[in-house]
Amino acid sequence: MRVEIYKRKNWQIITIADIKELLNYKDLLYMLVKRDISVIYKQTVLGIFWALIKPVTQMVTFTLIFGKFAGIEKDVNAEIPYAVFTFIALVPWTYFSSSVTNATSSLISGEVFITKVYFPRVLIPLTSVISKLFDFVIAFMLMLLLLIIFGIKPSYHIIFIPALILIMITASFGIGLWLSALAIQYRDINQLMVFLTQILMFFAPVIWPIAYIPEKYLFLYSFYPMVGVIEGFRASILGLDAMPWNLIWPGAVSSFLLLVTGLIYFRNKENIFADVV
Amino acid sequence: MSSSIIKVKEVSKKYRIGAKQKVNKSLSDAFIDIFASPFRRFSKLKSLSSFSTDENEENIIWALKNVSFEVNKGEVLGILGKNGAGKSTLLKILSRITEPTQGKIEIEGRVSSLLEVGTGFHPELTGRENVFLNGTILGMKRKEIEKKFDEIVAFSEVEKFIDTPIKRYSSGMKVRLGFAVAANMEPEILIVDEVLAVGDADFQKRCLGKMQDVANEGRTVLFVSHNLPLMKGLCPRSILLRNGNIVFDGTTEDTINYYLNTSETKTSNYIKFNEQGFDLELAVENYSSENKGVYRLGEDMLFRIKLKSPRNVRNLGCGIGIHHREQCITKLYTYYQYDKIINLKEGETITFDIHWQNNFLRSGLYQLELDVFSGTESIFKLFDILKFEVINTDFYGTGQLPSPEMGIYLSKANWNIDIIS
Repeated sequence: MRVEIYKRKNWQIITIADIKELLNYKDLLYMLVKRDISVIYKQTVLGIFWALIKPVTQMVTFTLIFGKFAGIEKDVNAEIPYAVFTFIALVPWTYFSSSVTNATSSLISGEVFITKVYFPRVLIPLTSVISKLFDFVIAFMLMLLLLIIFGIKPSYHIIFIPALILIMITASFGIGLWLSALAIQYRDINQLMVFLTQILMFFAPVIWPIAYIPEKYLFLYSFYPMVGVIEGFRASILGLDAMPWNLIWPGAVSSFLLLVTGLIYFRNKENIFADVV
Repeated sequence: MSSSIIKVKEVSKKYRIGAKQKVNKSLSDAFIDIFASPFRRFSKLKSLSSFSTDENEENIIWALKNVSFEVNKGEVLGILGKNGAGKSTLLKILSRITEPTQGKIEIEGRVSSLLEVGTGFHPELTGRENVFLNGTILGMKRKEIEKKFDEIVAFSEVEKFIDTPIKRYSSGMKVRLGFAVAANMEPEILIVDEVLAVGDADFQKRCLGKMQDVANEGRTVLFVSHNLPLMKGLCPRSILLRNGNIVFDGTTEDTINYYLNTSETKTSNYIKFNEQGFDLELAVENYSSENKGVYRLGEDMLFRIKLKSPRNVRNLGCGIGIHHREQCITKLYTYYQYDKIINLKEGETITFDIHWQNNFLRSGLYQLELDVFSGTESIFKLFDILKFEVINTDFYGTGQLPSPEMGIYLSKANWNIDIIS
């Protein structure tokens, strides 16, 4: 193995060598993810039930406040209880918001790695994004249970779920890369994160139906990556509507762009992490 | 040379040091400043990562400047220098933690660097899980760790607790486990910072033995330490860094001599600093008035240590060592000379007055070492933090100054002399 160390030029793109190097560290990625997952619920009484409590509490609250009090319930397809309607959206949304939040702070909390040892830094936010899948899987299973309780049979559209999950991960990772690389130098991002995910949620069709968006803005709106994912989840699981591909592909495009630009931005910033942290 | 495994070519690294803060003259200035400050702060934060060409040179320090050297395969190289000489920066660049501002380094082979013991240890995880975590962080594959696992555990001597979360470990156990992982890596190049200063003496000895083995196996080792005798034993060759430059490159013996002969001869009797969050003061006094770090042979001395702890320390121990050239003349430790147990709470300050009535040191320069312990485990050992000079006196009361031949440490005895015919 031969290594050359020198000041890298600005605006480098990702090379094959970078990817090869990353593959060399897959054992480390595995260990970091394992660490993340096994640590979260250590010394808690409820353990992995916490992965259920958050979306369930939100579902109950939202059903009460938005479904009943605000009357959004009336605008949702009558065949679907509002609780199910919103919970299906909360499953991918909870993943998105928690993995972005986690990835954003990952470099700062991983300071010890950055200042004491070398490995490709991209593994740090990547670990956050992967380890949050654990909670996602638990919430997903709860969702299936909920469907059984309400006697809703998923449609064959459910085969599209993996593609939607892929978009969801891509978007989270892309945004996580951007925000983590910014946050290590500008701690303002931490302040922003406190309320950003909350606001983003209200702007996503989590608690209200997509029909609220006027037709003429729908195309533009669908570039918000989670729109296609959430609507896709509803369509594929409930099977009441056709798959909303018109919403999914723009979201996929913007997720992909976020990931590529995020990787490049991160790549160009990682060499100074140790100096600015 | 074709056999060199590390080539460092004219490497420089600059850092920014904080620029002076602007002081507001009036309340209205201060008020306007509140709104202007985001822009200023932004440019300040941004400047952490970029250097403009018209930069005010005052705010910049060169941690390394045009450093070049080569290391051959199988060589054990010592890196010597005072705190702030650029050693850590050099190691960080070699370990790819930070990149140089200028210059280039070529390395042939797998590098493992040990700038800290047990990087990434998570308190909630068991010893076993942490071995795997730390090992992969240091660049090992899981399979390699599995193969070496028993060896690692045996070396660390924590077999019984290997499935216990390491938050239940003593700090010594953590260090042992961390070093055991690192010691069992098989990199072609091993970079070791002053990590051996921690842990108890017995374990330190075994770590050194392990490092010696690594060296004997023909692997390349870069080793930083303040412990001169240790370096002499371990590294045939050393380089000396001073203010970011290599000022000497040669056999460790020559380097040490050069270091000692050219190091600042300025003596002093007081120093105040912070180490690992501990606020420390060390003063050396005598009982007469005039005192600038110069003492007369035979004169009583007083070492005063003041320490403010950032955390709770159980069974605190403290001591100083007196060094002359690369030899330790003597050490004064609470461990042997004070029999009560001292527990220090976070934020508490403690003072130690060490009255020393045995200043029988030959004239010359001496360096002080300051050690702080928790139990038998070292929290830190700081070498050469203060220098003092001893000047010759008529120690034996003969009207003559003792000659240097009388040894480093002068002593008197009662003589009974009989002539037997």
